[in-house]
Amino acid sequence: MTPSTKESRSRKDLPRVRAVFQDAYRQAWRELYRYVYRRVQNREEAEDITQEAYSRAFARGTGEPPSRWYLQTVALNVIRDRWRRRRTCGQEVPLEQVWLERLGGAGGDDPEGAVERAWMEGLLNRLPKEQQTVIRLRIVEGYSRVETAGRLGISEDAVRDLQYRAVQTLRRLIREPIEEETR
Amino acid sequence: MKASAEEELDRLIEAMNEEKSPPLGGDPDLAEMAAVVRAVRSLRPQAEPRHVPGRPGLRRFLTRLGIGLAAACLAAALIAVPWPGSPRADVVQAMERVVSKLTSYHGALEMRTTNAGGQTVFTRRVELWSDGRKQAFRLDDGTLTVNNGDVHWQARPEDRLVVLLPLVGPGADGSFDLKDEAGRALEYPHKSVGVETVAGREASHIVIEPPGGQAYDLWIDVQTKLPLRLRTAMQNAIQTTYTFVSFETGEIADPSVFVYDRTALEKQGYQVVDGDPGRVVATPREAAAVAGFNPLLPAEGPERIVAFKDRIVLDYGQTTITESKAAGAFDLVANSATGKAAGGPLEVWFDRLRWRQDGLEIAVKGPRRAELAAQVTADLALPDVGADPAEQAEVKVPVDLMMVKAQQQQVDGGHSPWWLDPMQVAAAFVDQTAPAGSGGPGPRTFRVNSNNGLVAVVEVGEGSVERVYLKRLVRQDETGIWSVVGYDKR
Repeated sequence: MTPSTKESRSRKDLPRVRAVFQDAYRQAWRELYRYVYRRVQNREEAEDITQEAYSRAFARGTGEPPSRWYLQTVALNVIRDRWRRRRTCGQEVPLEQVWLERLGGAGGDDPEGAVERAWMEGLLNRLPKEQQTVIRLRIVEGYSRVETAGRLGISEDAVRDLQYRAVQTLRRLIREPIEEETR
Repeated sequence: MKASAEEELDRLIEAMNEEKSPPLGGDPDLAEMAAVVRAVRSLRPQAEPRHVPGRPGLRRFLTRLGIGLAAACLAAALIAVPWPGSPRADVVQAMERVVSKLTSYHGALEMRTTNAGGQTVFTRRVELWSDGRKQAFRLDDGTLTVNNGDVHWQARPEDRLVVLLPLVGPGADGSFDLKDEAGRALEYPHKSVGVETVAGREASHIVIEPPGGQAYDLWIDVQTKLPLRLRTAMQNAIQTTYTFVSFETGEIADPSVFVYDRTALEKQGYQVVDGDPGRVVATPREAAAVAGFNPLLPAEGPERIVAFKDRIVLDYGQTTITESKAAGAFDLVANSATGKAAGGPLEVWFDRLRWRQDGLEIAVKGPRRAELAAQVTADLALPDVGADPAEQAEVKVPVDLMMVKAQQQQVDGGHSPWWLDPMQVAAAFVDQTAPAGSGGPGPRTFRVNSNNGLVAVVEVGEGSVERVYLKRLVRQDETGIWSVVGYDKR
């Protein structure tokens, strides 16, 4: 088939391509949304990235429904682009990349995220008990500072202080492997 | 005063708990902390999407309404209800009459979502007050947003923060006014399907059928003729129901909700964030001193003038004129219609007219837009909806209406928003039809030559197609998709 014939066919096929794409979108967007959400942990951002990934996949599509692996790769690129754009100061934020890598690349991670949950649990268990409790209430359970303080019978300032120290410790624990590698 | 690292982290956690983008401000230190919080958050269940990805525009629009989806969707239902001449139109017409006479009310609205598996979860509750021009609403986390006509603010008890918001003009339409919305009710067909009990009250169940869209449901209180419940269509396995669990008309029992007392708030530990909420001025000259330019004035004087650092708003009650210095190119919204004003293009988009004149950009929004715009510019020409330039098309393109209706439903569901843009639809058509070897595929330029809201003509810069004619065949408003009905060969 000559390139021009191929091109002409692809133009004629546009409605069919669009229909195929729409079907694939309807069936699979929620799965991709979940994949993205686990990485960005923000509903609105995950919705936007999912949409953008589909738009990019459609723009470069071959007429066949995009594979899960391909969509995930595109979504990862969209996430990286967004995070890069945020760094107006030009400085690197290695932990963002660590987090993406830790979760595995496209297609390769377990859908339930059991591995990284176990990893995270392991890190949390290394925190002092008081910090663990605050982090679990505040971030995992999603309680407000006031509610967390009320439940633990401590002041709001103490909640702020404990959660800050806990995050700093977790930050150090997550960075350790990178720093060891660069040594 | 710069917040401490502990405070910044606390705000970051709070924002992420509320599913908001964390306030990183380009700070790599904070970005690292956000990465850690994200990692910890992976231990919690995922937040399901509120909408199908693909409608960020709609989502932002609803968010801009302040109370978010709940009231906005009920408002949408109110806009959509009456249909003169349809069977049993008496119920909705009675509702419209009752709502239009409301001067003040207080109610509580609950939002619940149901998935395709039949599981229902409570999402949020909103308390609403309306008293003439005064509006207030409170979310279940205590966030209170009030516009009392003089001050528009949002108080967040958890953060001990008060943010002053624009008083009028862009960003100020954070209110939910039953009266305004019901007054605009006019569009879609509906039918009554019986009487049911909602929130302990007898209610008429009405099914609304937007042309080419999916039907949705509204319940109207038999006794008071006020809307009680709205249930959206099942879109992408999610259906949302909004119910007024309480609704009282008449004098507001506690009018103190509308009182802005900065001293008292500061005494309670609130920090007041004062951006540029605008200030009411007495004369256009005073407004010019604040904004740095002289406004163009219609013959009729406004009820009040609000001046900002970069714009002036003339307030006529339900209609406002916003003027600012023109900057950059004048880009029209893709799904707007076009007319002419001050020798240039006039954008007609929903209830807003926008054009440029004497170095200013002018937007008139509200029910009196045409009348007031005509007082600012002598040569205002609204789109000629009687004209059908598509009749001149050299080649007619047959349209499969069933297919168009299916596409409209796709767009209503949040997919392929490009169908709303005549230029993109024309571009897709030309790519599909231009014969190879005669300027076929390749970069082309497209320009909307005319668009009266019903028919659009798009000029093609290169290739074998010179002009594309499009029509809104299913729904003739800004939510209607475009279909190609003809073209001219070059």
